[in-house]
Amino acid sequence: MRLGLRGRLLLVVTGAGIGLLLAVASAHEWLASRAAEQSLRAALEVRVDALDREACEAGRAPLFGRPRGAGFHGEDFPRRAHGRRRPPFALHAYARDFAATSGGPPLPARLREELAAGSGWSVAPAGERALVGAMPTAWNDGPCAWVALTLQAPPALVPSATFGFTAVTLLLALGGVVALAAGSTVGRIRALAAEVRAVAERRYETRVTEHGGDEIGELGGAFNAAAAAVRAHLDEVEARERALREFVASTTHDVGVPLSALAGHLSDLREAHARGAGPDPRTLDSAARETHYIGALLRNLGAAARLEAGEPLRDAGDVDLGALVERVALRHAVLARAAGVELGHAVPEEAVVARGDVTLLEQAVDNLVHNAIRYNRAGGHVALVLEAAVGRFAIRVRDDGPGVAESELPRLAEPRFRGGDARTRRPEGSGLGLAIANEAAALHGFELRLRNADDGGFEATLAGPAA
Amino acid sequence: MTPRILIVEDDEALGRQLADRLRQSGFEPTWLRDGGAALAVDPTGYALVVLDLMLPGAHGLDVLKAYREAAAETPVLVLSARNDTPSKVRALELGADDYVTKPFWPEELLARVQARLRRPSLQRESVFERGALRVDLDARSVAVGGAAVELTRAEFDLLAALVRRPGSAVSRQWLVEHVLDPDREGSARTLDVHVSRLRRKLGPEGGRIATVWGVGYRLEP
Repeated sequence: MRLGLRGRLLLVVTGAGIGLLLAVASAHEWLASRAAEQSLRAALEVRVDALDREACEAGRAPLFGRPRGAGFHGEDFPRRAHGRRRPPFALHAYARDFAATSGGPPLPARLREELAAGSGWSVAPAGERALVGAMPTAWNDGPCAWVALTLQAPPALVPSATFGFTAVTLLLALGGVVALAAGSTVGRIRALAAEVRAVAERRYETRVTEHGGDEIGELGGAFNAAAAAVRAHLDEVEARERALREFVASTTHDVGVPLSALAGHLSDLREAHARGAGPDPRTLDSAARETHYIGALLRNLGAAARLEAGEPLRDAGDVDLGALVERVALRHAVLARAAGVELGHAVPEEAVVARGDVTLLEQAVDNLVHNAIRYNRAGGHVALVLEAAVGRFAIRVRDDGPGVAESELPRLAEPRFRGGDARTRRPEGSGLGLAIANEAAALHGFELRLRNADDGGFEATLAGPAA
Repeated sequence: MTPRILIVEDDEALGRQLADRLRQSGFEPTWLRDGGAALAVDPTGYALVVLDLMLPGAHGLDVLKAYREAAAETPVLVLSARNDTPSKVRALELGADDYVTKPFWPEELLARVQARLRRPSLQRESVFERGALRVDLDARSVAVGGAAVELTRAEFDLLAALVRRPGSAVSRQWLVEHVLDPDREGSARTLDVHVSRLRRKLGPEGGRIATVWGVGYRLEP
């Protein structure tokens, strides 16, 4: 079972209180017994000083106290006004060999030893509730060589009932105060816990009340700060999740459309085959274009995901641009043939190398070539040329297609893949491709120039420092 | 001799297409569907390996590593659906010679295979002969049908640049910078003049010099 804060406080206070009381009680007892010893010695000294040898040896009464039988039992001091009883004294004489000569009780062994050893004073407990003190007489001989005084019932040996009562009362009062103080603290902590649970249930959109300038108030403040951070993080995650959902939705659409077109082409081919007709080359070409489009889309989605994450260029290495251009040209040969577009390319004899991420750079060039073929007409041309001069490279993609309206030019490479209405679908615009090319170039610190060529057509140039 | 090509690809349709396409193009393909089976093969018996990465039995990169540890020089062309730079770098570090990402067109893969087997692509011999055309790069002499053709320095350098890489286009910019004398005739317009003169001088073989739109010129192989 777990102990609550209140229970633990009570337990600690009670334990500490009892320990403290025991210490006080034992100190009290020690002090009281010291006091009894001192008063016993003082009383004895007074009597020994005034002792008459003859009277003592005769067994007669000494200066103080009344004779009672053979000994001297006396109530030496008057009763106090409030009636608290003074302890009674009894004075007895002993011979040199410690034999009782006035009927006193035998002296304890320790006391006898100390006196015999020459100590001028000795005290020892006698029985359960008495102290006996003894000292030599001035003559220290005969039947009255030593005198002893017994103090009955020294008050210090037994703590009074009053003391016990006071102690218990104090303890209870202390416990009560502690319980009360802890009660208010516990109550505030419980209230705070309930508020925290409520805030968590409302997905950290509300705050807890911060009252009191003490640690509990501080706790509330700290929770509010933590809740705000959690909320901000949740907002971010939710926004990302929303973007991802929209991304998947628009991607599904983007892939779905060319796939449907492809399915249509295949179905046409099958029907033509059933009729006994040969495949229509135009249908075959369209199917090839759609397939190519889907492949390009997939590659771009991968690149977009990386660019959209906004990470710095991590996987930079030496990129053989000649090989890159050859790969892009090879990849688009089928598409160009299907589109009836002549794709030519050239790279210099010497190697041209740039620092960069080969995947992103290749995707950028891929997109430039893909657009040039897609927006061209049958019988058109596309040229892909890698050039190098004075420490710089340029990859030029030219076509003799319709070009782009001048008003549209500045908007071409806007990062349109961000946000919900991310990717515009062809033929309305160049969509994802140019934006990715632009972002990839920017990430590398390269330049992407888009313009209408002087003698018609469109020209895109990716340029940067050669390594 | 028909070059033998090892295909390691677990997908039935893709593997069959690759094997068929390579066979049609004059290769002798062997098709394995399992990484474990690929590990048991000695790659040195093949001219080239087409290796998929996601395989049952053993991962493609482990197969690649085993082939390289066996000190086999056989070129390995890696096929992967992963289009990211670290994957490519890792495959190349492990000794892959080329990396083709899916989706790809069969033509693309075939061209990559041929390019790998054909290397080096630069014309190494000093004498180039096609049809009636004979170009001796060292002797700087040209003949058509056995008859010597007199060329100017610029015309010969122009032809030599095309001959060194038959079938590949050479850009106008490169030709202007490397062939023309910058002090006298360094313009693109001059280049066209040189080309038309060269074509005329080569007579029936002049047609081999093709104009590539927006790029430059190419010698048809």
